[in-house]
Amino acid sequence: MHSISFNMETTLHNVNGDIDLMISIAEIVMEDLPELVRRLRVAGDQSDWLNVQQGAHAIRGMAANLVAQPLTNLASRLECLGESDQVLIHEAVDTIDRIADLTRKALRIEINRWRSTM
Amino acid sequence: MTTFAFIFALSIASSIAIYLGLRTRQIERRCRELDEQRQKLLVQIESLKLLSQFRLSEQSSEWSELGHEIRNSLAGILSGCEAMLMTCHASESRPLVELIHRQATLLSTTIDKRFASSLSVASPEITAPISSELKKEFTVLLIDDRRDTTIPLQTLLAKDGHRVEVAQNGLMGVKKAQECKPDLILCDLGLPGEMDGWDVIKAIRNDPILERVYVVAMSGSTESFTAPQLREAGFDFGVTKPIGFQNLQQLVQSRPRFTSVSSLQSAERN
Repeated sequence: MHSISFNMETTLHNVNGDIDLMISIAEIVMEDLPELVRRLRVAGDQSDWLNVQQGAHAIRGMAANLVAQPLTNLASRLECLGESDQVLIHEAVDTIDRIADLTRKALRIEINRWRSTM
Repeated sequence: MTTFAFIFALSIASSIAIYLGLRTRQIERRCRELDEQRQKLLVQIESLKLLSQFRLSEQSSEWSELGHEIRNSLAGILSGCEAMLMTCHASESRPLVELIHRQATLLSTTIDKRFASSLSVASPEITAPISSELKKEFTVLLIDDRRDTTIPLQTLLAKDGHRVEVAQNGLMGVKKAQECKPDLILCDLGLPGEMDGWDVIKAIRNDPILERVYVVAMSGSTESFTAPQLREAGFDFGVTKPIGFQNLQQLVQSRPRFTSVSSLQSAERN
């Protein structure tokens, strides 16, 4: 099954067909993503550009594990935004928050689906 | 009695005729559906072939993303073909569906080979892999603070028979490298704390015991480094994360390096 939020088939290919490992990666993303988004929001609120950039980079890397393209693209755009674009940064953080939440919800369903096939 | 038998036979014949009529219409409808699907698949495969040929001819940082997209579309086409082949045993469409299936398989193989050889396309200056060493099992040091990176790599490397050490920051990484003397190091560039990846490679190249160890830089994006920058810093190679299993095996066994430049350290080691 392909999702617009991510592509676990590619993740499965990357881990040489190890379904347990693929599920472990998805679970790590589920667990760690909210904290990364929270840190990103704090950095955005404090106009801490360096941490915004690092946070966006971390989210981008994490999303790339699951080929979560919408989240990867958003984080990538935020990473490239100029320091002066404070309004855009806040909007981007809000959007990332919403997409990260949707991705986690979709991921939970997908993990259960893969578990049921084992 | 004869009349009864005649009526019975007539009703049976009518039932058979009705059934055959319905079945014929079903088959005709299915044939039309198959034909439509076949046309759709043909269009898809032709456009994908063009797209992949175009992209295969260039060294693009977008390749990985696009390659996966094409590969996923092909997976859809292949499963569509397989489903059609199961239902159209005697149909005229069958040879054509088989042809599409063959083309999609061939294209998938080409893309997979490209993936295996591209190693995340750090730069057009990447050389072909150097010859394999005789040793099959290595000690690998992973330096990365993100467990979504270390856990998959650690698991895959351990399953492949390698000894794996993990460090979550640069300081710990250099310390562990001095302790375990790894055969190769996979080091993230954006490490937290006092030492990032650039500091780690500096410390390693300045250490008389570690200076010749094979070190690969890892990053979440290709924009954060260029091959000449990595090479000048002392890295042997650079990859973008996530690193797939095939690429990981190639890194460990073949140790690809950036293009040799006589004045650079990596060239001297070659």
